[in-house]
This record gives sequence, structure tokens and C-alpha cells, in this order.
Amino acid sequence: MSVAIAPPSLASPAQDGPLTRVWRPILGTREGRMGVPLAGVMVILIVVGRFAAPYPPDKIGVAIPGSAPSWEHLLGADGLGRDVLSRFLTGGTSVLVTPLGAVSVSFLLGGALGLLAAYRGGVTDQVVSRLFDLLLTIPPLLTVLVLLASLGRSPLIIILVVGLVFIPWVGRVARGAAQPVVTNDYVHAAVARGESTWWILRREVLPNIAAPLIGAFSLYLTSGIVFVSTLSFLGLGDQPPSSSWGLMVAESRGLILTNPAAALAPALGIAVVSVSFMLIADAVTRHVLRDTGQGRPAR
Amino acid sequence: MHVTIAASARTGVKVLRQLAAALLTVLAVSAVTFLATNIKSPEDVARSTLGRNAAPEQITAFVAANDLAAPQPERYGRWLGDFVQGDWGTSVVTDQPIAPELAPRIGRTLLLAGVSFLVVVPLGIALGGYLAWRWGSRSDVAATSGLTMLSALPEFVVGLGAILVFSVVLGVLPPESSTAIAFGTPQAQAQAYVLPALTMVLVAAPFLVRLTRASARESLTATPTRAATLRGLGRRVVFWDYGMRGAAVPILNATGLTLVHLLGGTIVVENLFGFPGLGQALVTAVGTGDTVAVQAIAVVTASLFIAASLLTDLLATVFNPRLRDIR
Repeated sequence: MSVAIAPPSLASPAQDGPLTRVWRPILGTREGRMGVPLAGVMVILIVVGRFAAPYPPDKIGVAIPGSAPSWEHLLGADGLGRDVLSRFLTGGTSVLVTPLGAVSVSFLLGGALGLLAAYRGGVTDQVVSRLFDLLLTIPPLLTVLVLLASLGRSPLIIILVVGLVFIPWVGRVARGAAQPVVTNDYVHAAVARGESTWWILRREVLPNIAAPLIGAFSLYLTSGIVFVSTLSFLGLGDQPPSSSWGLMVAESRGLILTNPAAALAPALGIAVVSVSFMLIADAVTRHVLRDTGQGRPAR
Repeated sequence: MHVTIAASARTGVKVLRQLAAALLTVLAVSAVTFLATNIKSPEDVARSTLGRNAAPEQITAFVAANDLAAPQPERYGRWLGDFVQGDWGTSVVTDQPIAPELAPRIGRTLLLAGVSFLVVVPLGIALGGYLAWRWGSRSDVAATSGLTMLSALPEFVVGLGAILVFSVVLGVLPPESSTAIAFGTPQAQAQAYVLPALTMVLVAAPFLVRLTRASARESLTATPTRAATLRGLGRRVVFWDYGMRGAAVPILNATGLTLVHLLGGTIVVENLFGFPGLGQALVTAVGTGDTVAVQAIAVVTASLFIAASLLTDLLATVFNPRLRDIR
């Protein structure tokens, strides 16, 4: 990265938007310089890769089933003789889109609840915090499995259910970050001007907790990627003949002795996507927050 | 340190209160699970089991046979009564009673989690302590970054890596457990536990190591520890009696959370290795829409989780005098 990091005294936070204030220091950390390009490459691979697929990904029998990598089939074939490289290039979408949807749901609902709890305090805070505590006692994967058993397993339901599971975590981060902010004078001033609660939360509180929230978003995106790919691996997410990476690993797991590439390529894809967002989250929590002095999100 | 009668009575009250809270949580979880698995109308449940083309008479008969028409609270009460007495219902898919099928699976899952726990706890605490002692060194930075990345990986990816190394490259362990555990010799059975347990150790280790490292570092840099070094006490005494002892309470908490974490890990790891435990049964039941089985397995699994966190809380109460007086 050629972006030179200005010493803090030269940076003028007042003129930069909250996004610039967060992204520039991220690229100043070792984790950020590894994580951001890695995430960028994977996003491009997932979005554009499908156009480079040499064979139709669902076509059965384009190669000898379970055959090892060759020049015609760079990653070999899966158990039905489908080209692994083509399936790999087309199968990353849900690894990124579904978690993104789920984490967005949890930030919209959990973030709103957390902000409201911090701002209102008192009974609202008590009720919301108790609710979060209750939801946190049940292990997330168990909750998701039980809900999927009764609600069905369409992509939309998976987004909503996984989003629901993250609400208490996100809510606690938002509440914790907003608590020191809501006591500031500019918030009192806005109250005195007669602004509505939602206006105050959106315009005065939210911009000032952007950094911890971006860190938390990246962190929970990692958890979401792990979660959604695990569901797909367990056969409870995308259904065959989808080439979703988690499903590919499950389908090719039995081929590990004849064509290891069939299971390893999608597993590696998931690993790199997940680790890159984890690195970005780490860059935010470990460096940016400490330097800007904003609240640390909970683990 | 002498424990007064009043103090032990306070501990007793605290312990009883924790037990009651855990029991209430199990009840709440079972009620929520019951509600969640019974969102669908009785007719829908019948149709999803009998198939789309079931005749109305068949559906009525199914609803009557499975007692689906009664109001929810009444059905929950009846279900809870049966559950406590060991009648966990009959699978809607296989038409077999669930309890005898689950009993050996519970044992295997507990054994798998227990073995992994016994391996990961001494290993994780030792590594965490070592990294705290060598804080900021090259090995510390390398190990910490490695663990951070490891913690970002799904369990099945970690397990696949273990299969790659030990089954494909080295060829020393079987890549799959189901046949060995059902039919194998005792030695093959034991072997079948190795890779699943190793995977769980790798998945659970990062949290325990990082927390031990951070807590031990904090107590190693605290004033009493520095004073002990200045008084000329040996490095070993400083490390164990000041560093690690000072970090005992957070490490104990992390150890308990590790047990909970390991129990959760069994769900995915069992499915990767074809290990015939609770988690495998749960995923199969969810996949086939066997709501009665899902209900039973979910409540059993949740009870194990809650029992594990109760154990953690109890140990913390016994070992940390400060916690006894709170509330």
C-alpha cells in the first residue's frame, strides 16, 4: 500500500468522514495490510470467477469421477465427474452474501436495541440486557438447528435465523460502545433542541461509535462466514446441485484419498475469506480503537 | 486461611441458587424448543411426514395418533412428564423409540468431549503461560498470529486439514470413524477417537491459550510479581507462585468455557468424521425433518451445555472468595 499514514497531529478528524477515519488507520496496521487485499482478491474471485469457469459447473461426467488433477481439469473431478475448478469458481457467492445479509440483519435489529438500551437506560436497559443474557445461554448452532428444523431451510430463512442468533452479541457491543457517548453534551444539546430519539441516535450517537461497530461487523462477518459455511457443510444450507463451497467439501469428503483437491479447494476458499475478515477485525480492535480511544467491542 | 461457618453457609446458598437457576434455564430452553419445533400446524406436521399426497383421513388419523390437536401448553406438560421419565418419544421418520437410540450416543459424545478436554486444558494453559513469559518474542508473535487465524476457521476446515495430514500424507489414522466405532476392535475404536479429538483440541485451543497468555501477562507485570523478582526469588517461583497463581481465576473461567465450547464443537466434528454421537443424530434429525427427535436431542444437548456452564460457575464460586458475597 502506498498510502502514507499521516501522524495523528496532522490528520484533521473534523474534515474526514467516519469511514476515512477508520479505514486509513486500518491500512496502517500489519493485519490490515494483509487482510484488506486478501479480502479484496477473494471478493473479486467470487464475483468475477464464474465467468472464467472452463466447464458448466453442474454438468455431470465431463471428467472421470474422482479423477486427480490433470491439464484438462486443473483441480480434477468430483464424485459425479463434475469439473472441480468450475464448481469452485462459481460456488463462493453464498459464503459471502448470506453472512453479509445475516450480519446486516443482526446489526439493524441488535444495534438498534443496543443503542436504545444505552440511551434510555433504566427499565428499557434492564429488559433488553436480560433478553440478551437469556439468548446467550443457548449455544448458537443448537438454536439455529432447532429453528431450521421447524421453519424450513430457504436462503432467506437462513439469513434471518443466523441474524437472530447474532443479535445479542451485536446488541451488547452497541450498548457498550454507546454508553459513554450518550452522556456527552452534544447529545444533551440535541435533546434540548427537541430532536426525536431516533434522530439523536442516528445523527449524534451512531457516527461516534462507527469504529467499534465496523470492527464488530468485520468480526461477526467472520463468525457468519464460519456459521453459514458450516450449515452448508452439514447439508442444511444450499441444496444440490449447488456448488456452494461448504456443500462441495461435504460431497467430496469421501474422495479425500483419490482427489484431495476436490474437498481442499473449497475448504481453502472458505478459510481465506474467513481469515481475511478476521484480520481486518483484528486491525480495528487492536490498533484503531486503541489509538482513537473509542470503546473496545467485546470479544 | 480458615473458612468460617458463615462463609461456607454463604457458599452453600450461592451454590443452591446456581443449581436452581440452571434447572430453570433447562426448563425455559425445553419450553422454547418445544414451541419452536411445534410452530407448524398439526396438519402440516402430518403432511410433511406422510407426504404431500396424503389423504385427509390419513392426516386426521396421524393427528389423533400423535395427539397433535391438544393445546400447546397441555402438550408441553405431557411431553415434559414423559421426558423426565425417560420416554423421549418415537421418531416420526424411523418409527423407533428415541431414548434407546440416543443413550449410547450421549456416552460417546461425552467421551469425545472429555478426552479432548483432558488434552487441551494442560496443553493450552502451558502454552499460554509460556507465551506470557516470552511476551513479545518472535515465538510469541508467531504463535499468537497462528492461533488467531486458527480461531477464524470453521471446525470442518480444521478437521479436513487434520485428515489431510494424518490420513492422506502420513497415512497413520483412519479418515472416518463410524465403522470402527460400531464394529472395530478396542484398538480400532480408540484410534477412531484420535482425529476427531485432535480436531476439537485445535478448535478449542486458541481461546484458552490467548486468555491464559493475557491473564498470566497481567499478573506477571503486576507490582507484587515485580517485587518478588526484585527480592531475588527464583524465576520458577516467580512464574508459578506469582504469575500463574495470580491468573488462576480467569484461567479457571476460560477452562469452563472451553468445556462448553468443546461440547458445541462435537456437532460439526462428529458429522465430519461420521462419528456416531449426539451431534450427528441432531443434524440427521434436522435434515429429515424429524421434529420429535430434534426436540429430544436439542433438550439433551442444551442440558449438557447448561450442566457444563453450571460446573464452571460452581468451581469459580468455590475457588474465588470474592464471588461468594456478591448478591
